[in-house]
Amino acid sequence: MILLLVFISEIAGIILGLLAFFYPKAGVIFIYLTIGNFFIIAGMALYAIQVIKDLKKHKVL
Amino acid sequence: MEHVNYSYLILRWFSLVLFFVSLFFLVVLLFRYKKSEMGPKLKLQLLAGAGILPLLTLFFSDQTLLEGMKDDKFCGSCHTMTPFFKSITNPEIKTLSALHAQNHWIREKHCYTCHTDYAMLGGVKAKLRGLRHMYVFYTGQGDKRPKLYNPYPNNNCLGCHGGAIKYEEEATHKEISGEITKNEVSCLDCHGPSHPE
Repeated sequence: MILLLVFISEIAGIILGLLAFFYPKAGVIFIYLTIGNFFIIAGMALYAIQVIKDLKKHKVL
Repeated sequence: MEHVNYSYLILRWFSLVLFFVSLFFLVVLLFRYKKSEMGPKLKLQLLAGAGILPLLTLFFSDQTLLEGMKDDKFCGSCHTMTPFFKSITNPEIKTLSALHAQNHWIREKHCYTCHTDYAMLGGVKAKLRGLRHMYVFYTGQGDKRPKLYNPYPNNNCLGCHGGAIKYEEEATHKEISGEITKNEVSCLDCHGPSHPE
């Protein structure tokens, strides 16, 4: 479930980024630099949580 | 003939490639991780697709977009700024900004060079002012002629002219150097207007 959120969040961020690249208006760039960046960072953070959970499960941590 | 900034172009293309590669990886992983068991190979792909690639994409795309925002065309893309952008490229206009741009006294990023303060936080302050511009523009207050929030700082002129022989040897500059440094006299009082009135 967490991984599904990771993918959806990161894909949403990347789509916003592509939009900012192909339509470089101030408002669109601002949306990517705030909301898009947030989605990508949130996705990576969730992925890191998942990795830590797995490592704990396998008693590596 | 327009100057081509190759380093920016490379950065832009690199970011675009990263975007598409990341998107491809994420979409493939989205469908693959459901169907198969999580083996070591898939875990490695996951590390690349959900961890490393998005991080690289984020870093390079932000750099590219922030760099692109320094371009004159970007500043001129809001219709309130368009007359200012057109004025610096119109050879019939001989205001201070137009002379600096047309004679390449400032080689590129003319708007950004003059309207960004020096020192460590200069760029950050410029971005915050940009956000304010954007708010004004999108809330429909942008039809009026924009004005500076504070008097134009002489320090921005002195960033290039300060220490130059031609500037330092000018009698008037010597006479009022204290006032110029303290911003009590504006460079634009004698050398203005910076843009068409």
